[in-house]
Amino acid sequence: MVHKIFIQRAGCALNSTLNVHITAAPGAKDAFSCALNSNTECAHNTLHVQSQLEMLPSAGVYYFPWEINSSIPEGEALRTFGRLSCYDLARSEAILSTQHGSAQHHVRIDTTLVEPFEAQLGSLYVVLGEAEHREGESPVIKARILTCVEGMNVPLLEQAIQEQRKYFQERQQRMESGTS
Amino acid sequence: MIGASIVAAGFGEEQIPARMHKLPTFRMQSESKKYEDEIPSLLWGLDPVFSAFARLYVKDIKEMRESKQVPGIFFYNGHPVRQVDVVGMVVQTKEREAFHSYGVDDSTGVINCICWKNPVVGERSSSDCPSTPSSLKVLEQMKKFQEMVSQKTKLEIGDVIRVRGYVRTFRQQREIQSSCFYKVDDPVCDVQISRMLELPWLYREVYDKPFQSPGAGQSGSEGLDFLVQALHEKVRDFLLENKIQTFYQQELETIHSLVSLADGPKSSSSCQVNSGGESSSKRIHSVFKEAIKKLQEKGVVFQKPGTSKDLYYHVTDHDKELLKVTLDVIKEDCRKPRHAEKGCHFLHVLSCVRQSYNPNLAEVVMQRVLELLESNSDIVSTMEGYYMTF
Repeated sequence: MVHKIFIQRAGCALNSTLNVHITAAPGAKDAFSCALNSNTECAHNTLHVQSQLEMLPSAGVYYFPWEINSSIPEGEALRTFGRLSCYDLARSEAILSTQHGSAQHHVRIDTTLVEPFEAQLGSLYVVLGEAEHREGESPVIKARILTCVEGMNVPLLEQAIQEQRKYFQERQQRMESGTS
Repeated sequence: MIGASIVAAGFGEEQIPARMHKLPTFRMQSESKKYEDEIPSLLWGLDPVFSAFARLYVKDIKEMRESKQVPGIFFYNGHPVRQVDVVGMVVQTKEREAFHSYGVDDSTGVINCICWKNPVVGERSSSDCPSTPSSLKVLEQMKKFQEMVSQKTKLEIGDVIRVRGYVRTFRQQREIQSSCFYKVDDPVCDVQISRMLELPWLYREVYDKPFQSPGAGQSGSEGLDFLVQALHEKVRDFLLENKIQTFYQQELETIHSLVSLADGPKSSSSCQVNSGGESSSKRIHSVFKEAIKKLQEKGVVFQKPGTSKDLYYHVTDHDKELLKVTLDVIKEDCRKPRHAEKGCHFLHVLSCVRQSYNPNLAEVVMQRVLELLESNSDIVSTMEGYYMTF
């Protein structure tokens, strides 16, 4: 079995075909092994090893940063946001921080798949990736996409997320009451 | 000669489907009977969602049911959906010779979008073109335009994309065949946020409200009128296309394509749930009756005296006897000196035909017969209301 691997600026596509094909990007050589690792690591839940069957990743559901805790299922695709407060290039780890109420929330991001990226400390970022439980209480988000959105209207995004959830909850309730 | 109830085309269950092969629209209609939860395709156009680019969640695009009547049309909550409009993040890219396939994630689902590559006009070598200063300027601008197009249509993972297009199922996976797509410049997520705020509202106001087709509201006379209108046209086409000479109403009620229409769309009408089969068939019966009445008013069908209780009808266009009687009257009377010059007046023909053929014959039927004879060149009208033969 040979993996077809895309390495691009902002992520790695989860593909599997019968040929090796590397789309080179800056830093591709270094990223290659990481991408390969990640591919094989997540093979159990995202890669169905069938020739030519190329799977789409799961949808990145919106989570508020303060909702990212140990209860999130392993491998859950999600997206969240926060200010980049720290970036450790050597460990490929970034931290997105948010103030919610009186508490400060930190979300750990694994940036292996999105490197190299221009880290602008203090700027707002949106991340899309999979939750991975490693050591510690809260999961690490293995970023597939990490975008700087400095200037984004955060309260409005929060409202939009709430609206979307409310709508789906209503619909769920309506369907349940409809069937029972 | 006209005694047999069905003369030209069999009304039997066996024969109609065989004929239907020649008439794809009928076939479609008759099959829709089997999929009663689907609105008959005839009525789709009345739903505004059908002709719009539906702004649905990707989750719904992937889950909505495909029409059994017409593949490529889908139903969200009874609304027929033909084209969709999606905004999302590109999470996967694949390049093929003719297109890019982008996996688009709108946070509810991920769907593949087939985005055709732009045929590159700019590739034409400039030596082909005349090199006058003005054309060079145009060429330059074309080049700039091309660059912009390629910037907007070449997407990478992490970009925000807007796609419009048809939905189709390819290798058991839903995908969008884009008719239009571009990279959305959304540095502070304004576009995505406003869409997230818009969609719940749009769903509540439009997509989640059942489609009230005019036929569905049985209580409203307006709905019934529409149904009668639609059915009478369908019955007329059916009678004419199948060259039916005479029929009983009950016989029409055995034709699936007509019954499914008379029954009206069911998806949204809850009032039918409790009504048993009996009242439903009664309703269908009355709709047919109304439709036939309408055809009578237009002179397409008529009854002969003494048979009205049997709901037995003649089709004007195919009633050879009536056509012959009318033609004979005109032929004969045109020989008389009184009519030789101008021909026979409509009312004269009518009274003669009433005397010899059917005392209750309606004017509209006579009118239709004369029009038919005229269009066949059996008679000509000399002036308005006067007809003669040669």
